[in-house]
Amino acid sequence: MHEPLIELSHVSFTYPGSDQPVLSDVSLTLHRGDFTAIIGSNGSGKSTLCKLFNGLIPHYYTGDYFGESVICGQSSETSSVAELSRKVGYVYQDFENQLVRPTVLDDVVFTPLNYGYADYQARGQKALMMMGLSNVKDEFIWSLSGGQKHLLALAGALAMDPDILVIDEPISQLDPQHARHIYDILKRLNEDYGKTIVVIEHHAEFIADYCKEVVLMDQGKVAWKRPTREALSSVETLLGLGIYPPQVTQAAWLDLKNRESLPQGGTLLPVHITEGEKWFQSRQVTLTHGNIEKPPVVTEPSIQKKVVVAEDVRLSYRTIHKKMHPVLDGVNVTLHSGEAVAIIGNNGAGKSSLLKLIAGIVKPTGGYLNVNGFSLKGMSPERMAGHVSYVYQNPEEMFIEDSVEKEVGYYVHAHRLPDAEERIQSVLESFRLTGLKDRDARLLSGGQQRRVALAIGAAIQPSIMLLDEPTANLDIATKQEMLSVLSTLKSHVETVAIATHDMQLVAEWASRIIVMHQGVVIADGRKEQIFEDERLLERAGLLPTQLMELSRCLGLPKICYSLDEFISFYTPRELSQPEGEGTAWKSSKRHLTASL
Amino acid sequence: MEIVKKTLDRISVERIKLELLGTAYGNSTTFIGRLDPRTLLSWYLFFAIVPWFIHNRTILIGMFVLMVGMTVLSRVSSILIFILCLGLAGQVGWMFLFSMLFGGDLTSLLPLLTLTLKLSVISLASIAVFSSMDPEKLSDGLSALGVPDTFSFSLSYGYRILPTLLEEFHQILLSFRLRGRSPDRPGFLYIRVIIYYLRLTVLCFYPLMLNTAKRSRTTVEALETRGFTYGLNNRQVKKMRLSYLKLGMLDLYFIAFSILYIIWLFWFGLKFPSILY
Amino acid sequence: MKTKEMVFAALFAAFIGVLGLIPPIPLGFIPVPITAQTLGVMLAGCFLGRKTAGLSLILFIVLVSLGLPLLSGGRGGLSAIIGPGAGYILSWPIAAFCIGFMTEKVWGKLKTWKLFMINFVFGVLLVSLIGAPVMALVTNTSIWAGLIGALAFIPGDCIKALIAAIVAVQLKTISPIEDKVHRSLNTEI
Ligand SMILES: Nc1ncnc2c1ncn2[C@@H]1O[C@H](COP(=O)(O)OP(=O)(O)OP(=O)(O)O)[C@@H](O)[C@H]1O
Ligand SMILES: Nc1ncnc2c1ncn2[C@@H]1O[C@H](COP(=O)(O)OP(=O)(O)OP(=O)(O)O)[C@@H](O)[C@H]1O
Ligand SMILES: [Mg+2]
Ligand SMILES: [Mg+2]
Repeated sequence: MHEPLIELSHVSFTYPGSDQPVLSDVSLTLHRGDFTAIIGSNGSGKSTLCKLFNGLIPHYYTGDYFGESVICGQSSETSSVAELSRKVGYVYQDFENQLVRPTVLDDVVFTPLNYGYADYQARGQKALMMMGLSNVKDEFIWSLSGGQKHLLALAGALAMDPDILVIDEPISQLDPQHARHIYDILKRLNEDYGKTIVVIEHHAEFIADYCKEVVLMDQGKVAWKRPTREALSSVETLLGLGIYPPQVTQAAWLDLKNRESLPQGGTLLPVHITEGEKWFQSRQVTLTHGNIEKPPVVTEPSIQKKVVVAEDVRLSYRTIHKKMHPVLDGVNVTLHSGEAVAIIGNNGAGKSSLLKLIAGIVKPTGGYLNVNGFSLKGMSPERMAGHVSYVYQNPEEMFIEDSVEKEVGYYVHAHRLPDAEERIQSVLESFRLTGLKDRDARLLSGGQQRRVALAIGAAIQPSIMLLDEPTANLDIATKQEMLSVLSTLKSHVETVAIATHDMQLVAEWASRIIVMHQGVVIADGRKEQIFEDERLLERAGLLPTQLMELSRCLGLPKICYSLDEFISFYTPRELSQPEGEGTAWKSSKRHLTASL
Repeated sequence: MEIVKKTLDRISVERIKLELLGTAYGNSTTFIGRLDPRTLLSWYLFFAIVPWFIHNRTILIGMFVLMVGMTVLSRVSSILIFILCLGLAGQVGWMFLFSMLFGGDLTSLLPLLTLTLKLSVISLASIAVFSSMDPEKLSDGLSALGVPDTFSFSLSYGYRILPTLLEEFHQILLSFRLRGRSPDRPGFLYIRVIIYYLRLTVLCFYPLMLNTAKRSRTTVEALETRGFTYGLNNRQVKKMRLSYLKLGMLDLYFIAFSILYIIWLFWFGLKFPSILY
Repeated sequence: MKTKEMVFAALFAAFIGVLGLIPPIPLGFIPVPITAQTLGVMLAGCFLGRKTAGLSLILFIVLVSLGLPLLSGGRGGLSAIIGPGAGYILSWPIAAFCIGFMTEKVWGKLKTWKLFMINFVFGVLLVSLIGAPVMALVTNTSIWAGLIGALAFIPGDCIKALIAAIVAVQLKTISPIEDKVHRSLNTEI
């Protein structure tokens, strides 16, 4: 066993102005060379826990703090944040706040310069290169896309070459290929350079592939710390907390359950694709007409109402050098009512820009754009409200009130809608915000903020709803809940478009996928068309989900997009359901109830 | 009302923000932008103080010509110049009006003209110099000249964060409007519309304050975790941070030219004290 | 906590700048437009406390004199500061400091009306008492005429004093003053 680097003993912490402790009696030891994932549902105290690692608690949060934390042999109470930060690199969940200098290069050298490393330039350059940002090193921070900012924050931490690297949701805003790339770097740092790495992560697939240990947080307590495979195999515990193990693990677990040999505590389930392949290879494939049939053909778009028509739409941002920087370069899309559209593509492809155009927040520099039968030219934002609502990539940009309830109710009250109170309460209820309704949204956890943003959008009940990275920072149970709420909104909302990097969401939810790359649409179609085109995936920075990969490896007659589809191949005939129509969301709900 | 709307559209917040950003960061490639900040600051110090004590109109005019040259060289944004002219004209006109009201006459215009000249020299100097320096350079220059680090940091931070706050204000206003409802009828003399916007503007303060408070906390945290205070109290780091500042040949030429010009100007001015008026 | 004060002061300087960029609102019944800027001065005082508030207004003035068009209506540069309005603008740091000082005094039992009174006395009267005579001096008119002219600002300023008081009371819990009071209490115990 290596020497311990982080030792927390019986730490409790309460934020000022709150009477519930966020951390209660936490004891945890992490050693040199660990690669640890911290998991837990939204608001369980993960980010707060990590704030202990560099002394932000107790130095910068004046709440009630008890217990002792020793970081690299120093008590965090007696050493300053600046001192600890030299050894502990920390990338925040809200990484945008961490960028404090105007240009990319300037920002990345800031930390090593402050600590007086003579080779600060070289360090910065190297970190930028690792993150693939060298080509934007002279750009200004404010002209980066969400994902690029995230990469920059990471580069800033790497430039210090710290002993311990703490990253709060490292890939929440990154496209799948970048995400892999980041984890590959972390792995190299861990294995070749012996760095200790701590990540907070909601994506279990990545945990399975990269982390050595998992710490589970539940309501401010550390429930356990286990080696990865063992941890992810505790499917029931995890599902009970709304955390989803990798799809392979879930599939194997369902498989066991179908065979009524429910895993005993301690059974190890597959967590990687290769293990999954082995698991299922020995099993017999059942073919029913339900599972080999192609999915029903979607009704012809021509008879559906067109809600958004964009023809050759262009958008350029004006730079400070009075030049125009083209971002969208002739986009043609038509969205119809009843569609569930996913817009995907690599970081900086122009997804957010397209959504903002449709929402009327930025004005096109060319082309024709018609939303819900209105041309957006000269439409005041007030008149847009009932038609389109846009939920920002960064939830904090939406907050205008000092409590969650007022935030959600603003639209409803301003428009004097009849059943105001009921409506607000039901929206609060469906996003599980009732308990948080008097809190200031700015002071919530990352996932809670995201939920508030979604609730604001939902309360408007527009006919077109545009969501920008709605599932970033959400634990998976909340994500499923969100989808169900979206489907209950169907009576008002005609079309939902989501810009996302979450391929599972795309696979399970979308009826139509639009792939963007460098400001143009490079593909548009159903998931079968998109995910079977490997060249396209490669080009647009995408990766198939574990389940798709698995069904390909196993040579199933078709690629499976949801667990239900997949497991129906391994269900004995008499048990299999007549219709494979159960959506993943329903099936997940079923797992949840089954496990509770 | 249409015209008002149109012009209002044109001077959008977005434009003002870009203008500010451009002033702060846009001119680092110009001739003046490549000078060392210490050169620029000392140069400015001279032209901010000396004109006050000069009553020789020729010298003032000569300085004015120099400043116009500098302004052209530093490619100051046209809007800033426009605002400056507007301010000067307005101010002089106003003072003139005032002194006429309270018993002055046309002769009081001449001293006013001289005052305007002085003010223009100083203002143009400040604009030319500061729009050629980005906030970082400004703060490094100040700190190299011995201004306390905390002050120069605050100054550059305030400068830098300004466009961000403006953007935030815009964002908040937009959120209010996207979720709000404008009056159905404009009312007499657009009174309802005016009240609506007034109310919105006032409402914006509150979230803006909340955001500012939150931002200050996160910024402090970020600065701290990125070793800012560590570097602040450390001479070694300061030296390293400022090591890129070098007085080059360009600075030398610039200073030499300025000195020669001023010497010539004084000689010329003393010879012909009132060349234009 | 040095960094914190610096950041707060800088942010508020920028905040007041943003208020200046809001177009001034012309009012029919008084000759001077309502601008949001003095509101910023009062808010700074009530929210930041004396030291930080004073510093932030000084920063603001330096930023304006560097040539940034931050004074209401987009004026900027030294010429805008050294004009007839000089007294008004230069009195702001003093006003903010005094408002901050008094606010800290009444912090324990903070009431909207108290803050309103403080804002009125220092943010309106004091500013006018410094501003108007200076204006008279610069424009060569009698001080009385200047003071009477300043009366025109008073109704608008009162509204601002009230808004600032209300907002500041609502923001009480997140104010750096609260932090300071809290900490000094803790160390006393
Ligand atoms: N600055 C703050 N002031 C008061 N309460 C806070 C603050 N930050 C977080 N909280 C509360 O503390 C609890 C834990 O928050 P934390 O950010 O640690 O959660 P988390 O596990 O990281 O969640 P997520 O997955 O959503 O990021 C939440 O209920 C949150 O509302
Ligand atoms: N305000 C802005 N000013 C200038 N350029 C911008 C601005 N916002 C975005 N860009 C540029 O536009 C491009 C597209 O950005 P956009 O935010 O639409 O990407 P995205 O597809 O949403 O990426 P991500 O997945 O990382 O969020 C990027 O190259 C970015 O640098
Ligand atoms: Mg968190
Ligand atoms: Mg985006």
